[in-house]
Amino acid sequence: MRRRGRADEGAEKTPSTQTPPTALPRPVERPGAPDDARFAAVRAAWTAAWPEALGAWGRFTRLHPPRLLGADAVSGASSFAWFSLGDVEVTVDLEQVLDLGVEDHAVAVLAHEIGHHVHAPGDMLTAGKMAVQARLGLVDLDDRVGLVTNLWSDMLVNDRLQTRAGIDMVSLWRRLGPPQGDVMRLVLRTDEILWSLPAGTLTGPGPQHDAEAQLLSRLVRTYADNPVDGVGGFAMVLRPFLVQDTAPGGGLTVADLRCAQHERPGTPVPGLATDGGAQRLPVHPALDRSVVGDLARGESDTAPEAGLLPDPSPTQSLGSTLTPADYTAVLQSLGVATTPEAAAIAWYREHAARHLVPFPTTTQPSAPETLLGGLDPWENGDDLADVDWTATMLASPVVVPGMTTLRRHLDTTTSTETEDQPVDLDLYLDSSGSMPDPRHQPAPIALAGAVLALSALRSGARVQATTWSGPQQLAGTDGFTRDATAVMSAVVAYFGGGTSFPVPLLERTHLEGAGVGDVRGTTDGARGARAPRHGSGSGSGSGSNTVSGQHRRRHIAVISDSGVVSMFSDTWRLPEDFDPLTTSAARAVRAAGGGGSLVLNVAGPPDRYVDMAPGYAVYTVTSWDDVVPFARDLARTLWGQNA
Amino acid sequence: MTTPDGLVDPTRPLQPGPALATVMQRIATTPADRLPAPGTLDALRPQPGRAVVDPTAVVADAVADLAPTARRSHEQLTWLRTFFSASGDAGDQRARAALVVTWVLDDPALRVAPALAEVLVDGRRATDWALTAVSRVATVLAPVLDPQTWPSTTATREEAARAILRACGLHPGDETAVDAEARWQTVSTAIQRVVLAQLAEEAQRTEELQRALAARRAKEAAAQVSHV
Repeated sequence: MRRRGRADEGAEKTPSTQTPPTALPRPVERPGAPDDARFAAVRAAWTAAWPEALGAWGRFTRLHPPRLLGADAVSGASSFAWFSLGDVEVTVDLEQVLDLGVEDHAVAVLAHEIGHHVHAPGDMLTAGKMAVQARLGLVDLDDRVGLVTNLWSDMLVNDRLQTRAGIDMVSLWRRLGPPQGDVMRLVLRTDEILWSLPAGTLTGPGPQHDAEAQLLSRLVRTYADNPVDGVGGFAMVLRPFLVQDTAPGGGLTVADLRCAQHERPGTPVPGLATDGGAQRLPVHPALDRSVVGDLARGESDTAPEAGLLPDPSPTQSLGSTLTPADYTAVLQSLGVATTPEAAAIAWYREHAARHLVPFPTTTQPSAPETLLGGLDPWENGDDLADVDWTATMLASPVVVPGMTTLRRHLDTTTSTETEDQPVDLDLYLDSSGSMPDPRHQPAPIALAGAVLALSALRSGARVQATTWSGPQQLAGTDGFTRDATAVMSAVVAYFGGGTSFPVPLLERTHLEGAGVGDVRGTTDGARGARAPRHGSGSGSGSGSNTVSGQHRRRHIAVISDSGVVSMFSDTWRLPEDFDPLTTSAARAVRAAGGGGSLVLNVAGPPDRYVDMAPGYAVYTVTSWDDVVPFARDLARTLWGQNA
Repeated sequence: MTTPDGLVDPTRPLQPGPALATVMQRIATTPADRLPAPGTLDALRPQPGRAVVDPTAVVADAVADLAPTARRSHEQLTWLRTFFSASGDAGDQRARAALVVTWVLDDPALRVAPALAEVLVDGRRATDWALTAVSRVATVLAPVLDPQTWPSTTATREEAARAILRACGLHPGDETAVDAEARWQTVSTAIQRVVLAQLAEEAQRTEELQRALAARRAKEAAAQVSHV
């Protein structure tokens, strides 16, 4: 089910049509060569400069010293210094520092990198929110999101260092030389205005974009302490320049930045998926009263305070949170995305977390306790390991097997303590063509599945999650498992084919002597779950799914729409002689012992499905507004199943 | 792109004057009686505890001080009174601006600028020069930046200082004419207003285009939806 990410797709293109990278891969590090005198001197100077760089951000700023990479210690680094919010670390490539001749600007460089940790972006959530706003401001230039957010952060950090901390950023920029391309000319012209420098000090000779630079200078000062709210407007101003930029290599990309952000793939961005204001449309700075104040008086009196465009998502109560597809794109721009599937899993996990419900448990006696009894004779033919040699030798120093040998008799007693045994979950998720693709759009029905699965896992239960569509279109966890990622992979999987409920699988899991794992392979945690389960409380079971001879109960849940009929009948219309009590579904839920749930994306009252599915509670979830009532009703129903 | 501002004569290049910091410092030390609140210059409504300031007299005295050889004419005083009695708030603004401008013109550091040597020796030219500076600043800067705020912040001090220098035909002596022009373009409230209005208009046009595009896409998407 893995889809190739954008970076992979780009790698297949010809150089002429190659898409610029949204985020840079982490540079590869290796043991470098020993420092020669030149490197040693630079390393000592930069190490000594670290406290002063920290001091630029206040007396109480703490960050562990930077990693100063020496000769041949890194490859693939596009910049001489970079930061990682996930690792909370600053890294400097001294080889590039020497090549660029900026070895005398240690404080400025290090203070700048520290600024990314303490000022902009500061943390992964802020970085994520910035990427969302930049993406909205750029409209269709997704591949430049990383570039724009980095540039915006750089501007805020540099302005603060230059004007408030007294760090000489001007000298550093002058050492790095005049910019290439319109984007960097605009950025540096803005710095010139901010720092009251004569035109051309940083940008060199040539035409300037003064109007836009004036606007950006106001934007920087207005949102100096609020990087999220300013970056959207920054992106809107920059967008035409990004389109036209004709710097060498086809325009400025994130690879051209002097300072880069490198994150490890998979670094979490908690809170981004459920951020209610993430998708609010940015306002162009020229229309933003916070930026232009009353200077725009008269020209924009007709404009509302917060932009001209209407609310983009008035139709769903999800508000303006990100869609899974948007979330994936944002993670890619941050460089933390692994696959679209992983991003979708993170999206649904975060949304489901607020709706988790208590899952039912079974109270059972704890395991029986063993008591030491008296001594019995050990006779020939008994297991040699049973001989109690201490007792035997005490009885007679001469050992005659079968005559003087003794064995310890063990008694058992029933435990007086009880323990709660969770009810496992057997989850079936419909991914036929009539269901929404949960990886691209917010699917309330998939969220309901995530709520069920994660609630079960939280209670200690095991989950078998199966995604189904047409015949032979099955994917899932291959048995009961405690692996949340495997379960969520099934929740977000999508076939988009026909509709054919996997009744044979349901029968194998609940009605046959062996579970599904015997047929489809198992995971470690699933082995016990496939032990015989007929006749609970037989007292002779011996598997990890049993305690004190009791089988773990199972709850059967089906996430579907009107296609759930295929669970009860081979045809869309039920036969005349349909007997709901004799269907495999009905027999399975009776055998499972933990009840059943049908969570359906159907309009209107679900009476028809209630009648055909005895033993199953039926819930309808068609919109985001239904998710909370569903979780509430589910909790109420499941709580009553505690035994 | 240079936006004209009405402070300078385009046919005459600006000459080096005193350093910007000198003029800004002079503005920062403007006495309180030259910074009356709006509407308090009316001689018919004197403020308790404060002397009545007649801006016409103050400006005329400043001009006389600059050009001792020139004769103070009745026409000059009439012109000033007419200038300060413009309708609405304009007259009050002009009068309050003139009080600050003449405070700067009184600064010896300004008068020693070599570029002014030729002007100040001629009483008539000096009078014209001073009145021109007063009228330009009072009509261009005062309507967009209240004179009472000029000494209050670095930004307003810089804008007022540059405006007064420009109106005097000077640029900061510690900058080149080109640099001074570029910096003026970025600090001038009036020019910013024009530039921002243009950018706002452009942004509004872009948003309207995007809105139309989004509506068209939504319409096309709706047409492609099939209900099964």
